[in-house]
Amino acid sequence: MRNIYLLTTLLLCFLTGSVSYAENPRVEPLELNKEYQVKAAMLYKISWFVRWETGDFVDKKSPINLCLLEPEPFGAFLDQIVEGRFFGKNKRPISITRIDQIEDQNSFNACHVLFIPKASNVSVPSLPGLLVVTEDRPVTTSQAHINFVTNNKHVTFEVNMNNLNKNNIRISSKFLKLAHVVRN
Amino acid sequence: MSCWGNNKYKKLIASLYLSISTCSVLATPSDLADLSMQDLMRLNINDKPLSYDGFRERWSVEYSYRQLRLDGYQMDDNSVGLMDILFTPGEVRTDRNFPVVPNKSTQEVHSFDLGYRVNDKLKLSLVVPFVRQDTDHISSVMGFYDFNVASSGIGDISVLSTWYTPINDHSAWQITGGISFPTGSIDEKGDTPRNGAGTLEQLPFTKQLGTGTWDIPLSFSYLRHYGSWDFGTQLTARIHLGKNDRDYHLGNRYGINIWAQYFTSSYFHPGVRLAWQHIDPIDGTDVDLLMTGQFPFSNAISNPAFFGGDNMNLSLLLKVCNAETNCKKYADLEFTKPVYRNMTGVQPKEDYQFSISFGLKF
Repeated sequence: MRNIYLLTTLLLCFLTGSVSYAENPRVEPLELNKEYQVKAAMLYKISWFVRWETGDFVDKKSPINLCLLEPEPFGAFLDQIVEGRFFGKNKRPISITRIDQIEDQNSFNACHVLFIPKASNVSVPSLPGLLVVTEDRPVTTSQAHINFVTNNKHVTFEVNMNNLNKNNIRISSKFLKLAHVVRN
Repeated sequence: MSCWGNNKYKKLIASLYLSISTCSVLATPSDLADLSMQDLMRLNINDKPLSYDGFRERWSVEYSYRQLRLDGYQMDDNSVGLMDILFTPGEVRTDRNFPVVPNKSTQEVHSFDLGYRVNDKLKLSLVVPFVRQDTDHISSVMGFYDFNVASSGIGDISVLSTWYTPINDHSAWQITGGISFPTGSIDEKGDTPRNGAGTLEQLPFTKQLGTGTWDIPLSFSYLRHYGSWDFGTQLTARIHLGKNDRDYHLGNRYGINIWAQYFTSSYFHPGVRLAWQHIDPIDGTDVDLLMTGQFPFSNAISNPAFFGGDNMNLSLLLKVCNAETNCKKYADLEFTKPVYRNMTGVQPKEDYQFSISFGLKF
């Protein structure tokens, strides 16, 4: 009998404990879902495939400027990706600029890469030397150079060669081999 | 900053991460930045860690079959021949030789497991085992030179509660605790030489179907998903509370194991587990197993002091399931061989363990 009392007490403690545990608030999920983790890494990687000219930068040490139109979906994740990383033999840092207000096309003057999220209704600018990356906006019907395409499982991208040529942007053939290349 | 500061390791890890499989799970921003564009395009953005998939569906059912085979004997950490421990008339009787020697034994357990996920962190399970034991003996008792004893029936039913706490997207703690009820019989009898032919006598401790005690099974696990790999380490214990109606309790068990499983893009996912376990001796004794005279035990497995010790097992694992459907239907196979055993006194030697499970989550 002594065992049954002991067990009943343990069982009650056990169940009480489990119930109170279950009522604890949820652990916050990761800030960024996997689709945007991959897109953030791709956005960072894309810059590696662009053949930047010396004239694209103020000086040898000035950064590659990655501009994100708000509401941008990456948050701190993209900042953590580029933190402490440098490009090329000049070891250029990467800076991230978030753009809230667009006065005119001069707003993008300092940008090397511009990401336009699908939540933004801004029309795609067409400026020499400015690489424009979009998501879920077919490049056949926009001025963008690269567009992220998400299917059920993977993130891929399409590239519009006409738009690249129009803005004098040169991209490595290695990158083009991975992309779905269109010409309109 | 990634935890792998060294470039060599980064490349190695990134290669692992590469995921030939479709079941990759993402790691830190730094890990992702180390992948090539091609590798990023291969990553499955819908994937979740497979180790924790018991926490995705509300219900789960599983049937498992486990077989444990004992063959031969060992004394402490040395193998001994059957003739060394079989007492024959004319020899000197000691506490290490016996007139009856169970030489080959097979234990089979059919388990039915019903699981219910209460919420994202808590899962309850009911496990109902059906146990069958079959043992061949040799003896020096006239009329019982070789004989077989078997027992079968419901074992100890247990209720388990599993708490799952994610640390981040690719690692988690898991704590399992519960109660095992003394539903398995400890009064199994067989025709043994103890009182001659045609009479049924109480069978030794390990030939019973249950422990006879209320038990607390516990485990504390750390789970880690990395690329196509699942890793884990687990502390386990089984505590017997009080003594049973026959005035003994089996030795408590304490263990630790580590395992790794590789999730391929196909249906077959191999793995390996290394497990160490310590088992205490039996506390108390069953007086119905005793004989009169200087040597009260007719066989080694009736001696409560000859129970437990330390052992280490190596298991090969194979999970068969479709990772694309989150392994909602699966089969698990496991084959285990002892790699080290230092058991207390004279004990049957474990040859192998084998198990196969079929499960469904919905």
